[in-house]
Amino acid sequence: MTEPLARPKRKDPLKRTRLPLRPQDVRSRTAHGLTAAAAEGRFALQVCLDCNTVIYPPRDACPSCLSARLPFRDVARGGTLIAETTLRTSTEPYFRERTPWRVGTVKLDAGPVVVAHLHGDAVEGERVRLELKLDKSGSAVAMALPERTPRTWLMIRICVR
Amino acid sequence: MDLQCRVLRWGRIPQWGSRSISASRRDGLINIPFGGASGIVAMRRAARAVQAGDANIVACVAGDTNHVDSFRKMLSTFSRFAQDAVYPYGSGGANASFALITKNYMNSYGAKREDFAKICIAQRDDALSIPHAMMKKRLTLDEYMSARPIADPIHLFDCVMPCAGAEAFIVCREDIAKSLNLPSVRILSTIERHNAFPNDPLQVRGGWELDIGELWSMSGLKPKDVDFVETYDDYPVISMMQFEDLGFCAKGEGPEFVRSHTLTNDGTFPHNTSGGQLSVGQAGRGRGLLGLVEAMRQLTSQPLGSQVPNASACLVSGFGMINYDRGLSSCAAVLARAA
Repeated sequence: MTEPLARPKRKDPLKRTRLPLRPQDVRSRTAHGLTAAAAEGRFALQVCLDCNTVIYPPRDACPSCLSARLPFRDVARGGTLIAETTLRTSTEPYFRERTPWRVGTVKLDAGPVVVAHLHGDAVEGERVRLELKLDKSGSAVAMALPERTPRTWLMIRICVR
Repeated sequence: MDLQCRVLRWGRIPQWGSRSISASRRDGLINIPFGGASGIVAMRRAARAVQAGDANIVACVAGDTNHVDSFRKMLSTFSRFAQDAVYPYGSGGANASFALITKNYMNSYGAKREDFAKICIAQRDDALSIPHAMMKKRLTLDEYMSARPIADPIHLFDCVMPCAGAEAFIVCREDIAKSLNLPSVRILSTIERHNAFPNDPLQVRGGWELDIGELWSMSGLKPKDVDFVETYDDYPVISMMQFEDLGFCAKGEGPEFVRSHTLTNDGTFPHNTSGGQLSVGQAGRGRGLLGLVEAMRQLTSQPLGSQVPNASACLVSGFGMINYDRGLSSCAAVLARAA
């Protein structure tokens, strides 16, 4: 009825064993609002109740009017990828084992600028859409994907996790 | 160690009515946590304290060292913004942030890697005469261009080397310096600004742009009057931005300006005359004082390396405190040889 599990191949004992690592999961208390949104598949950033400024990174006071009323609200996820880089080395062991790794700066239509992980088909200078995803550590990260997902990609796993 | 601006001797400060602080308790201590801007910021605070009579002599001291893993710990906890909004993204640290700034600058103004190479190679030439510079060999264009990529377009020789080291200088009135037989320089003007242009999508300018007219008019000099320039060179693109924002050329003309000068001590537009952080090394908290102390050495004719001929005035600038995408603090000072 079911295929028995194949026995894994013997590992060369002289080869280094890859450690189970996680990216850094430490976030500020306020930034956990992003993780809550990511867990529900929403794209939510802080929005100032007093002046409607959309805020990123998460803060405790509005940078434009100093209001402290800054709940997380769904906002438009479209933006432009204005610069990208490919990391060839990293101070963090998790990423060091996964280079090259692309990240980029996205200027959101909603206002703020977000540094995000890049999908392989996100192109510098072009439109992207941002999603909040949970990374391996369980914390929220922003990921930039091409604005439209062609049908063929729907079969491809696109999330970070 | 942190940057400390240590006030050695308070003047007579009336406290609790007519009492003044006793001789044995004449110490004050100010911490200046502004990274690459801390040297000039400390000098400004110190000069104001001296001017106001709060202190007679202020020593500005900064230094640092490295332990195993201390660089990663510094990056991961640099600020709340760094922790929330950039460190989880590949943890390239400052290399990644400045790679994005560099890429955007190249896209916007047509700078090429060869232009950044010119800055790095000229600084290396200057550093060859400095005995304790970390980099001791001449850098060729080929070596620069074919260096290991770190975070495109940043390659190995665009990056500074964390190292141990310290810098210090003293701020006091000119007559005190003379009476103590201390060689001195004069502060003609200074500027300082934090979080200028928060709405620029990516950093293409620093706060200097807002204050530069005031800096030059206070000093009584013009950009062409200074004999050398010390910029904050955490990455060469930032030096190029400073050439523009400090009034040596217009915005976007940085690449052309670099192509038209040698940038070396013996040539036109001597720049980062000790080799800067790109060749000497980045001594943690000491980084903000490197250019400032080198400027003082040049203007008092006691450089560790080669002397800029006829150096009588210079401009020093500082830049620091990158949050998640840009440096927040900028400052500059015009200094002149003591009369």
